[in-house]
Amino acid sequence: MTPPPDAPVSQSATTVADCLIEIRGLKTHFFTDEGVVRAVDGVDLDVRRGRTLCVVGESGSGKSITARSILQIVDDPGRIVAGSIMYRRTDAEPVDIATLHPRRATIRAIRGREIAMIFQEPMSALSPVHTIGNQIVEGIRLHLRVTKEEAHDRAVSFLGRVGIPKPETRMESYPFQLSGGMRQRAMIAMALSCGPSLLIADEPTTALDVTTQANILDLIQDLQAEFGMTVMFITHDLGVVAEIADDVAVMYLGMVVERGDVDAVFHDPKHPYTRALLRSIPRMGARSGARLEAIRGMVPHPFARPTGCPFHTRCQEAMPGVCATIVPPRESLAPGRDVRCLLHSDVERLERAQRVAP
Amino acid sequence: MSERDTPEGPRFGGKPLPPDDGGYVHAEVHDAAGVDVAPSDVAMAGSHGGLAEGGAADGVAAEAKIAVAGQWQLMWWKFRKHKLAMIGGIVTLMLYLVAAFAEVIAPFPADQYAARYTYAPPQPIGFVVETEAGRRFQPHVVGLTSQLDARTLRRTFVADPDEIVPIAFFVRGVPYKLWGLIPMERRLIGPVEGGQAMYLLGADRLGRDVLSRIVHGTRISMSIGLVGVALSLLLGIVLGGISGYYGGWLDNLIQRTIEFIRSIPAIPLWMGLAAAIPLTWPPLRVYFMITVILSLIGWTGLARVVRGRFLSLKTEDFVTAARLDGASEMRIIGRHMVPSFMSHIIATVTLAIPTMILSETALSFLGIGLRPPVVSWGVLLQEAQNIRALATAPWLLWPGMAVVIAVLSLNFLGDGLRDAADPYHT
Amino acid sequence: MSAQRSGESLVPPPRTRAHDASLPTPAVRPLLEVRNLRMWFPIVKGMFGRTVGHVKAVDGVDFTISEGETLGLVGESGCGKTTTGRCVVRITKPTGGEVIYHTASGESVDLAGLPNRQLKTYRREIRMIFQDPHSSLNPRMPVLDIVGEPLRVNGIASGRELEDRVAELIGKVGLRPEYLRRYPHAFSGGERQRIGIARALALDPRLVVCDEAVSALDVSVQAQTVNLLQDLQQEFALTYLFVAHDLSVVEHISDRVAVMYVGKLVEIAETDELFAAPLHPYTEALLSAVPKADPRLRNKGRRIRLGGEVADPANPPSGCYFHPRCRYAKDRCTVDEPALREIRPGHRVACHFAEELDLQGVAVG
Repeated sequence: MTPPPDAPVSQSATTVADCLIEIRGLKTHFFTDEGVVRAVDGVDLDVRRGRTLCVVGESGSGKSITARSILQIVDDPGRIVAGSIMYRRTDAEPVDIATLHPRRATIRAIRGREIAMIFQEPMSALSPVHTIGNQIVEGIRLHLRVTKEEAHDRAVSFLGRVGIPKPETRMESYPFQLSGGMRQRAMIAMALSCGPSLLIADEPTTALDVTTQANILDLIQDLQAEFGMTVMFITHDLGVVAEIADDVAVMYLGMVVERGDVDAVFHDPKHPYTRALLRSIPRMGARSGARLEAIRGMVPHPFARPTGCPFHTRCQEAMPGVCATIVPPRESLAPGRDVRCLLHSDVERLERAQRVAP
Repeated sequence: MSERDTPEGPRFGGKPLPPDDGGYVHAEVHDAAGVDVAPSDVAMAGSHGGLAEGGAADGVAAEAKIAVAGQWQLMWWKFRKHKLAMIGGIVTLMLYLVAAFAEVIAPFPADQYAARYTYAPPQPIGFVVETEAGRRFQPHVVGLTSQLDARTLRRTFVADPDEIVPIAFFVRGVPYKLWGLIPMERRLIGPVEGGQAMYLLGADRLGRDVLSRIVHGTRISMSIGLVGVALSLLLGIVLGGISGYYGGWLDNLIQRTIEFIRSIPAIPLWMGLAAAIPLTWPPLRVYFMITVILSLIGWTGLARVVRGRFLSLKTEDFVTAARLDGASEMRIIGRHMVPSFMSHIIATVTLAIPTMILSETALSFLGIGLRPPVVSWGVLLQEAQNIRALATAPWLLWPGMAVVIAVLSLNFLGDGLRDAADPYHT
Repeated sequence: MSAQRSGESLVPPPRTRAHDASLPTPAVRPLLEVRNLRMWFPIVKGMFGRTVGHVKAVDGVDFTISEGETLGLVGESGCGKTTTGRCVVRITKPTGGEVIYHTASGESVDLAGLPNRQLKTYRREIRMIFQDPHSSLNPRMPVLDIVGEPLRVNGIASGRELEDRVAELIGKVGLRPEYLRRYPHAFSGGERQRIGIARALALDPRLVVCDEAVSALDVSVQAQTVNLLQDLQQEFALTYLFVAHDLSVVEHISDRVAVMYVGKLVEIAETDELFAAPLHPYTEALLSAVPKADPRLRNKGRRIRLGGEVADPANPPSGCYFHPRCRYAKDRCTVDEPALREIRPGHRVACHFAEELDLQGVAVG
């Protein structure tokens, strides 16, 4: 498949300066009584400045945990055990977030101020006992040196900006008095009120109806254009990805199995998992009437990660004896485009390497 | 609105979760808590495409075991991890064994008195005796001689090293009938020769052995908790069940009644009711009257728990499914609803027993509950009411220790049961 | 019936849709006729349960399901689609209207008013698959008892025979018959949903109400389950009422689709026609809002974004319930409530201006 001339997203080369966040070899594990859950197990990701990166995956893929690792808000008993998360600001030295203490001032200054996050369930981020206005004002005053009045005005203007009617009155509302869509807007206003350079959106539209989802997606895109924000959008919905992504990372069982710009991933998928996923979803308008091409089996339980390539147990193209033993390395196909699949690797070289260093 | 269109994503235990790892990891992991081996989705995944040479290798059998484990099995696995609850459970079990075999365990009958040993102090157990032949292993207590202070008329006891009272396990003692039926004379521990005195925890005002009395008191105090709770349970399940299952005005009536009962201050109510028990009643009838009085308030809490469970289960999908399957109301209650909250009830009941024990102790201590000659911990503590007695014989407080141990161990046990009660949710 | 399908053998025997030209059109015998169905939940206040109003969850819904077809029922949360499904299986007793079921022997019976005792026979033939595979299975029962329950309580099988029947059933839905003694906690979401499907099939039903049956599943498992439902429909000549909010799944599985908005049916038509040429502005907006899984379709076609909120079913607006959010609304829409009327054969819509509007469907891509 060759990209057509009118491919909406141009492929631009990645340079270091381009990357706002550069994740390398990130491992976040959960140490439970029953054993270690390797929720994130060697993730490499680039979040490029001013673009929208969609991280897509099923349950257990580690996409949310990856996002939470960036903010150092992984719940107990989870811990970042390896890897680096380089955060490159334009005006300051790069920081490795993975090495910061989750409760120290350095990360707290970044969290909410420079990197903001919105969640699937706004009620989990908004306090039920404080008004929307108070919560936004408090967030602003925590991070910015402004007077109470300035913070108030800022909050009102952001509520208005996210499309909440009568923002001045809504400042006095409690979260439960708003509808799902409005709550989501209020949370977005709160997240944006400090002018973050990166917005992490964790399935923000999953609990919403399609019509509301469309509005929220539009809003996020408009705000991104307006404020020049970078967006990292986590979802399981390939339709949403196709709608808003510039770059896509497909995750499976704690690994990024494929990465590239949206057109390449949708129209020239390299990883069998990506291909299977794209084939398995029903597409509107494409009324072939044929059966869906389902991926066989289930997502393995976190305690039972397959050896070798995590997807080999469900893969149509798995090579017997190879995929079960060798963890596929990241093969770069083009700048910003890579895949973890032995079909794209020099298997013999890997086998030799494995024999030398078992 | 009853309708909610939840988006795709794994859900757990009825609560929608973020359809991603966040929810997944936590939910699944917590779900598995209490289970030694990885939950058996492993084995299942294996079935769907030959999973995981690595993962499935260790203990397919163990996973299969979890897969077919019912709720009690899962609860036990989860309970087992709660160390304090396990200890509480063992102590509770021992207390009930003591209660059941009080006659065997107590060295003497509860009412055996000896005027010359009034307020005798506890005698430590010695293990080695010096004789002409040399040192010899012989568990014993050292005898006491008493002196009467002529001026203060107070009796003081001095150990008499010459008088060695050998003691042993399973000695012949005062004959008794176990549970009023089986004639026996062996006692767990006691002086080897009948008629000799042994006061391991001291003696009371009438020279009765405090240890023996505590052991006998265990039977009354521990059982009053059980009987009282059993009565509350009966009332609670029936009334709570009706309230929750049928709802409507009946529910309203029962709930208002519960609120009314709960609004009456407990101690004055008990006192009033207990004071109304005729003094002429035989001890057994008083005992039952007291349990009735205690459960009169106790049932309300249980009824609320049962009602809450019924209410939440009534709309649970699997109950609806059973109704659509054509199951009768009796079957739905018996096969689906009751098993779903039985474990919660057991935990609640376990936590209610200590309250009963404390209430009985309080009533008896105040002199309006059980009365001598019945022996309960509360009755025993009555002896420790006066400061002079306490100053002379602080060992009269030992029954209080028994209460503390019983209440604590039941509470620990109940906590553990409550945590394990729902092995399917966090 | 020994065909035991496990995960990997879910690859096609190619199946054609029931209404494809290659197959004879199904007998157009109606199986279920829903007429003017109403489900008003009272809003009670105060200690004495005074009724101060009604939530009109379902308010005058009419549709017919023919034997062997799949009717999709879509709409946003709170539109009453789930309640409609629950009225059909009589989890809730509708407050008005008729649910006429035509039995195999040709009799017709109105289920809406039937007391529970008399419902028993029909409950065998009209079954339900629930949305949440976790709460719909009793965690304290093994698969044998869960799937076997309808057989047991209806006195159809017991003991050894019951075991064989259940083993066969769970084989039908692609689970290993050895798993009879396992409890639900041993299964993943997709597998639990299969158990739920096996339970629905146990009594040889004619109509199955699928209430968001695949919504809670992972993307990759969703496709398996949709395929399974289609295979079973073919094998057992089932009729489905497929309640869902995911339009692409509904389009894939349904022969006809009904769209609901605030308790009312706004449009009903053959799937192809409804998706290609919707006649109601709400349907148009709904279709337009679904993200297309192809980045090259981005910004293609008209983007319709609904403003405002879904109307409150306890206090709906005057006239057409959709008029406050409708971009084509005229004065008449604020006063006159549009009736559902047939504009084209088999295509009914509740809009005053259905003939005049030029609405946009989904581009065939």
